[in-house]
Amino acid sequence: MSETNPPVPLGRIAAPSLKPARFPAFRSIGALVLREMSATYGRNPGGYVWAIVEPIGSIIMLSIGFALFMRAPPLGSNFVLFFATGFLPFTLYTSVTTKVQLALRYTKPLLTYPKVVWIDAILARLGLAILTEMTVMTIVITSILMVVKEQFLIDYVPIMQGLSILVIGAAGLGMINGLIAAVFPLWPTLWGILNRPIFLASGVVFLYDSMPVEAQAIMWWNPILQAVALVRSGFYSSYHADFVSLTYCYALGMIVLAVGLLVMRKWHKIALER
Amino acid sequence: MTIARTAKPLGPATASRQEGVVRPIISAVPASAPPPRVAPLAPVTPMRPGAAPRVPPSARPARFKLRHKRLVLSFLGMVVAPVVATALYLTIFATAQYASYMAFTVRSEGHAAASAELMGGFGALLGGSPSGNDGEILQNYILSQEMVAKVSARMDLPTLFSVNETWDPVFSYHPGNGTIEAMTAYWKRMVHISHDSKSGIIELEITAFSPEAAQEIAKVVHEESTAMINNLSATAREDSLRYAAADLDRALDQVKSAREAITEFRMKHQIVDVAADVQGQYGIINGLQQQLATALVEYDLLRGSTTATDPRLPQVELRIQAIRDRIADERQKVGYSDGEGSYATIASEYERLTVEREFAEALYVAAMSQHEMALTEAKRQTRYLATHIQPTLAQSSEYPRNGFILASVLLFSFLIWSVMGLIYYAVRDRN
Repeated sequence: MSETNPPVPLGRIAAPSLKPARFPAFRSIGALVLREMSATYGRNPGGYVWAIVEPIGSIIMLSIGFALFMRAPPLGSNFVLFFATGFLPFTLYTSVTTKVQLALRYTKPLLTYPKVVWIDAILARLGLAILTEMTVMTIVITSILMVVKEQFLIDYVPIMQGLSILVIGAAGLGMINGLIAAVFPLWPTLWGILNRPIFLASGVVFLYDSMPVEAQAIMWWNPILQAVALVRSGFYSSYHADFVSLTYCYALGMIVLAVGLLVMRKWHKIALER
Repeated sequence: MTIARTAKPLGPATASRQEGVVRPIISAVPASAPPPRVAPLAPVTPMRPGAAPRVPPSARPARFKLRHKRLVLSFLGMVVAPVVATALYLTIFATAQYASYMAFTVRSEGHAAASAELMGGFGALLGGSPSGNDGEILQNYILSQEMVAKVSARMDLPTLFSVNETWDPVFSYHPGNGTIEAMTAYWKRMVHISHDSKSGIIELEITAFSPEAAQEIAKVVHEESTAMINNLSATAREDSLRYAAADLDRALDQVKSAREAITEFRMKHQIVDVAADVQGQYGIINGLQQQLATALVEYDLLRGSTTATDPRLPQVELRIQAIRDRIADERQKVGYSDGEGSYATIASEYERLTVEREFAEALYVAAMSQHEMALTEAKRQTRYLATHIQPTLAQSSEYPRNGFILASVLLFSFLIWSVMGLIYYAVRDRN
């Protein structure tokens, strides 16, 4: 559509200095990221730092709680590290899903500007969520490793594989959920109920390997569990997540992402009109 | 999307005026088509028949635009090309690979499972330590560099794995600089291992470019695994036996030195048994005392019946004195006074040595039984490899799994292409 612009002389005469932005996508995404950061914890003292402090606090509390009634972690000797390596990937999934799900609703007023499109809103929130979660993960795990003073043979390849599976799938799921929520406002509540057991079923506290065989047969199909196990196998060199199928995880994640993008492209107007 | 949306309100309006002319085109009005401004202009045209129509040309049939071309080109490049290339490679270049299977468990005579049984149920779910620890060790070992080195020492792995290097570069090994690291990386591609931590079964699938090679490698892997497990249990046995054996040796030394000390004592004092010797001494003293009493009685009788000048009296006195001296001497010997060779010191020395010997002997007996126990314990904890599927010989090629590879390439290239296309169009929808 940009080819319709040149015949209009007004633009060129009235504002000769106003050239079209060179990378409009990056500018609008960047602006949306900044807006998001100032909106999330903007009014509190400390600002966006709370987005990082809050999950760190919750992981400490949860691991203390679980450490009280479990004698020893199923892997390694440090409970906090065992819990962190499972809980952090899981929060990456939940946080990306919810952030992307609410992207359109939060940026609805800005989407009326022609320079801002729906994908900007999604990419901005997705990128910010990934950055935040990765920062949290780095801080938590680095400080645990420094406190524990144990040697760990960390293999980054499975960690990155697991995290990328989670991000891809969560982004697609967030888009699909966002659209369904726009049509059926009750959907987020229902989804929350359906998703309640997923924390226990994702291998955060209970390893897949120690589940009963009957449970394993069902749980195997849970890609979050496989991704979490993959991340763990990167931290614990003695833990081989043999059961993980990268093909299955990536295929499922990519399919969800493609479907999410497709339905967004087709129906994002519906979500905006409501 | 935006195309369809702007076109729709336009559709019925124009269609009603220009009967059927535009109809087939409407659904495909391109995005650059004139906006609804067409509507006010349209009624003008029929009023001036014959004149050159001043209507802007109506929407052309949807044409192939540059971006469409890009879409198709990217589809060809990102989906069709990889799939075709994969298919061609798999059918023309890829050489058949054959798999050899085997399965085994690591067993031990002991009752190691007892602790796992105790905390079954929820306890096992919460903090259950993975049983089948040896399986994990073996699994680690089979994929390790050491295993590769050991197998390489017995057979020419680089040659076996690079038979088709020129024709089939994707699936074969490139000896190149021939480092063990490269070989280990390739080894992990050809050896697939699965370990069930519940039953402890280790399943191994080894692929190679001929059925015999696969079976041969599998056999060597099996032998090396057995050797490793034997080594492991031998080390454990040595560890537990070493302390028991050292204890036994020490006890034996003590017994020996205690006995030697006693022998030396006997040689020095020329006494075999101090108690018997002392008894003998007392016998002598008793005898002397009896003689003394007899002499005294004799002396009394003599003094009563004869005069003081009787020459027999001094003789008896002399005898009494001699017996008294002897008794004193003998008593001194037994130990009623102090001195080097006194019986009391000898007896106490002897007693000390006897106690030492008895203690050493008791210790030796205890060490013996300890050693025996360690021996049985070690025997019970011996691990061994129980193979229930011996390395099989393939009759047909199972790898590369053409269908699976092709389907994955198709699926993933299509998914990547569609996601990238969707994002590209979404970003492009600006303005």
